[in-house]
Amino acid sequence: MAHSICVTGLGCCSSAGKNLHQSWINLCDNRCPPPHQPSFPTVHNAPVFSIHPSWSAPDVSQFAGQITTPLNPTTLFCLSAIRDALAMAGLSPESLPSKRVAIVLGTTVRCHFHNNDYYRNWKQGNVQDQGPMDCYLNDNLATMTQQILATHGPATVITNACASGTDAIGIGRNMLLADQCDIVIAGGADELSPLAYHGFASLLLCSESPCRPFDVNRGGLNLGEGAGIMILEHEESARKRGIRHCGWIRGYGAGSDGYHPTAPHPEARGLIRAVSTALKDGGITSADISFINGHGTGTRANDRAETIGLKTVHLDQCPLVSTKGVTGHTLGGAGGIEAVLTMQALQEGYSPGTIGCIEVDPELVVTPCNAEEGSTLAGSVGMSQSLAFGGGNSALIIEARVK
Amino acid sequence: MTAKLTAVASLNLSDLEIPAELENQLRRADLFTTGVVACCHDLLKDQTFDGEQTGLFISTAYGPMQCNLDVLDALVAEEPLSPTLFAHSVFNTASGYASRIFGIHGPAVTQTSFSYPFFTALAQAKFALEQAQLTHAIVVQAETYSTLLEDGKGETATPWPPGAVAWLLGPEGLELQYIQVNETPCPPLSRLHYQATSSIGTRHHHPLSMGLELNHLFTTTTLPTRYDIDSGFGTVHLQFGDPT
Repeated sequence: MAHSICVTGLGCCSSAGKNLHQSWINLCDNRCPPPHQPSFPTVHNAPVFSIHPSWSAPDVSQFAGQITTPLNPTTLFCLSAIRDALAMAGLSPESLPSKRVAIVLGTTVRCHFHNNDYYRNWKQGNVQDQGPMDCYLNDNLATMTQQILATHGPATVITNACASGTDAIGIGRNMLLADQCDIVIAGGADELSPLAYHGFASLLLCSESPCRPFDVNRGGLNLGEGAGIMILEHEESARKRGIRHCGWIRGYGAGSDGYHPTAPHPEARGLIRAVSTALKDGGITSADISFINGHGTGTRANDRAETIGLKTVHLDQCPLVSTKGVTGHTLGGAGGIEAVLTMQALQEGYSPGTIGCIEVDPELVVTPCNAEEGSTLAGSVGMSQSLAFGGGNSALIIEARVK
Repeated sequence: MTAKLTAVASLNLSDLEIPAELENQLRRADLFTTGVVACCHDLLKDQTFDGEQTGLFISTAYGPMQCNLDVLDALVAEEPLSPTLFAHSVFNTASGYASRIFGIHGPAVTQTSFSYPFFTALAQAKFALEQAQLTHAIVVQAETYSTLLEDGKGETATPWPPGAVAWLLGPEGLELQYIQVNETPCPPLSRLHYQATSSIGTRHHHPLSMGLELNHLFTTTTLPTRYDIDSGFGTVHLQFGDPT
């Protein structure tokens, strides 16, 4: 039954590019802008990847909903990716209100109240304007997106930290299988924020130079921002609409470490369960997987645990890359962006190397591709996986409809 | 497998006494995480389940809000941020605690919505059981409260009780035959001035209220065959079958 869920639209934006096309070219050519010091005040020396300079906010009036409140960057990134994904799917914004549309979006930054100025004034008993509170109550990413698109159906934010986007796509697929909707808009988005930046810096997880996933000299992660969105529907639905889909979500799995609040399980217990479940869900074996877009943050603990997990499930022979060397770690957006890039790589039959990785850490039990090791893929089935704070792990098995 | 309601638990966080066996594990936890864990502890105390085949579906409207504000305190004062405090301000930290304490290794999903968080999580849990991905699912909603929200509501508003509700779904109990959650667009303050009506006539004024009502019915009388909720931000339809 899982085979019937296809992907009809893809959209993304990040520091790698304003849209999927530009992101893919920049990724393949290693032409992405480098990280830089954040624009907000900080004592930390940790660069970040901000949205690509050519990106501009989408025109919200093209969507059916009437929104007058200002929109935050996370929502705008998300709408930018949704606009592109809907266009690829052949779905006009005007057509959505008459359909059962589920909106399932991952985010972490936008779950928090973080209007520092309002909060400072409120603490001093000096609140004149309730606007920021209205904005907060409007800030649930799924609900706001639903308002803008004027859709009806389930709308929820998955906030599983760094795995949020991956889980959102998996849960969205489940909603289709459970007949809760006809169309799913799923993925993730997040913006750079002082709160997350200082939080990750306090945990000593940020690199002071451009991140180097899987590299022997890796020193941590760089935060990033952006969004990645997939449009999902039953294959029969796409066929009736006359749309040529780009592939399938074959399987989804999740597993919990039950180990530590922030660190991954050293033997990757939850990841192994997530990947095993996803493979079983899709009726796929490890031998069928020809490409893995790993979580690959560039922290020592993540990269070690992730490769141990892949070795355990016999996924140590196919190309493993991380795209965080060009996007940074976009937190709730990461799973969405990486799933979109995974589908793109599978469609192209080509995997770029891991930008930032010069010399693979010899202590890793699986050998990921370094920056120079772009490779032709041997098949059309791949995997995108995420590891998160709180011990959450999730994996998507993605198959491209080869061009 | 059919999803069946096996057990329920409710918790009022304002008069919570942390069970002695949890005190050490919760010594650094904030109120939100404490609510999730303590409610799960109450829910699971007489239950048998395989942690490998059990999933955790946590939901909330406002999450660890006071912890969030404590982080802002450090940021606006330009003071160093405590890594422990930051880690606890992340919404899914509670799922990490609960999975570790109760030995749960299935999916641990945290989702948030200002409208019907518990029922959205319940729908996800039901699907996971029906797909035979799990034998048991724990569905939890926890809400804390802050004076920031109270001020946002205005002087005439009634404060909400911080608390939690939890359901254990498994192979035995009252069949959960059907659930459908439909959200519709609404103005932002309608979410803070929460007004929903259930099909048994109760008016609900906060997002935890419907779960509390269902738990009360489950433990004192019986759940109605059908339970619907209607509000300015959408509807929920639940249908229960016969107990087994």
